Amino acid sequence: MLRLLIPQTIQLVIAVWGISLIVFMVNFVIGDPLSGLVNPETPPETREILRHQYGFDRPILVQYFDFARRAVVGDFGESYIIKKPAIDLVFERVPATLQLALAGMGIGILIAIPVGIISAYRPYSLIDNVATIIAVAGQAMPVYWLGLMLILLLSVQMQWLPASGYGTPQHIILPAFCLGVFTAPIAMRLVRSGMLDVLTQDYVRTARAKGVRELPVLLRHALPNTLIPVITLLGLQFGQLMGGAVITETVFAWPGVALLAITAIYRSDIPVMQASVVMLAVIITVVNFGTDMLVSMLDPRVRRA
Amino acid sequence: MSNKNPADLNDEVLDRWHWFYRKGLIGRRDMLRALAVAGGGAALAACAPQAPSAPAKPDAAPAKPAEAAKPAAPAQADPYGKPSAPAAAAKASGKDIINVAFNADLPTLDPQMHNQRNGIIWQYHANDNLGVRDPKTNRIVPHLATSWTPSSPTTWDVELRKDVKFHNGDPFNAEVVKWNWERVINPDQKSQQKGNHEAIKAVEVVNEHKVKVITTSPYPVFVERLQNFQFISPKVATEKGDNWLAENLIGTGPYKFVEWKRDQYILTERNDEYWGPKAAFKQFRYVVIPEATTQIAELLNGNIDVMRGVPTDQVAAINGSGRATTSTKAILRLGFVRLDAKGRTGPNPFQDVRVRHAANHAIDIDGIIKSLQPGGDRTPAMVNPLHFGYDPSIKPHEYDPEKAKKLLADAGHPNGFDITWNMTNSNIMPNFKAVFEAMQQQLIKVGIRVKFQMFESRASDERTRAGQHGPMHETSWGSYSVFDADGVLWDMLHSSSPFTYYENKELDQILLEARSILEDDKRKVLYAKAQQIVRDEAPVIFGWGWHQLWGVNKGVAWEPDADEIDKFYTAKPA
Repeated sequence: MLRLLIPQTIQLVIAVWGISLIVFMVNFVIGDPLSGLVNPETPPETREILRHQYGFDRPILVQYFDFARRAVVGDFGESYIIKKPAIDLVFERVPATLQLALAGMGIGILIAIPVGIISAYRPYSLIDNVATIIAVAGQAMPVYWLGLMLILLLSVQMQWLPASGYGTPQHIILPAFCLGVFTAPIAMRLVRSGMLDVLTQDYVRTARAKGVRELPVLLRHALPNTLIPVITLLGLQFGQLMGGAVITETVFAWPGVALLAITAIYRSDIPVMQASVVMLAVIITVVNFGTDMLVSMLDPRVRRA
Repeated sequence: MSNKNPADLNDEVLDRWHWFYRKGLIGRRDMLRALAVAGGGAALAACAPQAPSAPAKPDAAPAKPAEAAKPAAPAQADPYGKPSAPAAAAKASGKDIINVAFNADLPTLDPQMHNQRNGIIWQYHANDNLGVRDPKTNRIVPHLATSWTPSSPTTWDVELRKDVKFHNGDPFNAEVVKWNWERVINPDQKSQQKGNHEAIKAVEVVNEHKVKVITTSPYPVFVERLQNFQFISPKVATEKGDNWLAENLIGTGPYKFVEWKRDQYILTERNDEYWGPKAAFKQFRYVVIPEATTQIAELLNGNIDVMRGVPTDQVAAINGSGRATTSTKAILRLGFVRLDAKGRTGPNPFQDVRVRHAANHAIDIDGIIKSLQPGGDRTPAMVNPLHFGYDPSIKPHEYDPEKAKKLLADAGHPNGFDITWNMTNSNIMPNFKAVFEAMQQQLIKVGIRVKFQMFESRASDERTRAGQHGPMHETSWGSYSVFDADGVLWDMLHSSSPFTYYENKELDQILLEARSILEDDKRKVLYAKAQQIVRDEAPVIFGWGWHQLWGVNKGVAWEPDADEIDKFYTAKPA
């Protein structure tokens, strides 16, 4: 276990460090870091004074170490626009984003597993073919477009659900479903191929031979053995879900970290942008790390490898 | 982990349930529920590392199986009969709330610590100004002030209303006005609005309802500035401090601040003790929806009553929906393509006035307005018809490619020339890409072979001010909502402005004179003179004053104003 844990932890640290480096550099690539802070009319002399006050005139390496030293303890400075610590603003938003990502993933799982099982149980049947077509379509649909189509149908035409906002269970349905549709197809195909493989194995034949009903065979014998790659996939997908949230949160006006990041970028609010990107990155890497650990616990082969 | 295979144990349970079913002892639904519990257990077992030692208990989790039993329909599980929550409630109770969509949240509720359009609009509801713009004449009329008169070229006497109170009961008086003005111009406060009040040297209290404002020089746009300057109670400010002021507001306006959920909404409630006409809707909710398409959806399903900035291509869809209509209004903002007539970025063909005229004759502005814009008013000399001082006698450049070619040949470019247009990758102008591409094609036709180079808006802004933004770039100007020719000509063409790529001593002199006197008639004559120079010198490719589109729900009667400060306290249920 430890042999796996140590390199994984090192990887995690390197990944987060790399992201912090990119996030830090963004400030200097776009242009004068001061321009987000001051009015267009600010005279050059005032700009120079401010530049010194904020330390933008120091060598870039010194600035980076200063940034990194503070970032490690979660201090990204005060938001330029909302005069509060950037990290506090981000923490306020984390629950909404996690809520959306988990709900999206939950819906994805609820679609993927049953449909995957049925497809594998009756391969090349009508259900399987329809499921395959829908899976391909689901994978090909951009989240943005799907979101708008769902809004048009369920919000504008049927008037069942609100198209935007946060707070009541109704509000989460559309965005979560959108993310679910994005997650489901790959997981479903993975369940299907895993099941197809497992169903031909000897222990399944044995179970059937001793008279176990079909459903228990599928759910208790076959399914658990196909889930390990699915868990790995979902772990990776979780990162994509957080990325997909950038679009989903914007379309559905969901007040999460991604929406905060987007607003911060529009307003050149560098500390908030840095804090939210680092936060998203940390969540993604930690989830990936957790997934690896989980899989190694479930599957002894990975642990030994 | 136990030695026994937990799955086997479970199989027995399942089999028993299945047997019950076959015997007709339980219904199909109960059997399925039982199976789903086992299935859920299986999924749990796979997900949670310790689960195998605690195998699924079929009766343990009655809540979960209901979900698992119909996995394909999770989206329809909730909404039965219950439509969208907060706005629907308002719909049911006879429309006592007006919901307005905005593309972004406010950075702060402190009226003096922002310079954003959305903020100005919101502040107009929770706060009051000394003067407001009359929507018919576009001049400023008294509001919290009852009058203002210049007692000397550098002194304004401002009389205040006597019946105004803050929402918490604090009085509004001369001390409040003085304190607020001093707060804005105090360099330590770092107010983004300091520039608007730069000319103010001091404010003196004459009596409880009269202040004397002393300016550093004669200051004709003083009155224009009164329409975007709101007040906070000094008592509240000193007690609670700036951090509290950023998140709360006690104003004097027609609506009282209730609640702010960041990036969701800001709720205000009618001020029933308001000194002026009271609002028709009991509540006004500022709703944050970044995507225009989502805003349209919410407008059409009734969750939103008004949206700003409808995309031009959606007008027909909204008007055809039967649920909402669009409303158009000419606004102060105008667009144009700046040419480097001064050579700030190095020698270039536009330093020759004939080439600048050629560029103006090459583009069919009327055609572009007609086909790609919700409307527009030509600005033959940069000044919008809405600005004070606009001279309607000045004729815009006519569309004449032949004339353009001839002018180019006269200027020594019979075969035209290649040139770079520095374009910003985002623009609030509707259809901006199509507009600029149409302009590019028309310029190429006469021989001005334009190539685009794209810039991020922050970079564009910096480069423009630094005088590095290439021989041509497009831009737009809102005149800081000052409906006076000074608001555009000074900032865009006076040689002291960082935005100017043109220099003309005569024009500088006229503009300086016009901003230093207070008599309207004299100023009009001066601005007419200035506009003739600008028309003849063509320092830019003249564009047009923009028209803006609003989407308004059929349940609401409301009209936008030209100053782009939407006032929803004037809205009424339709």
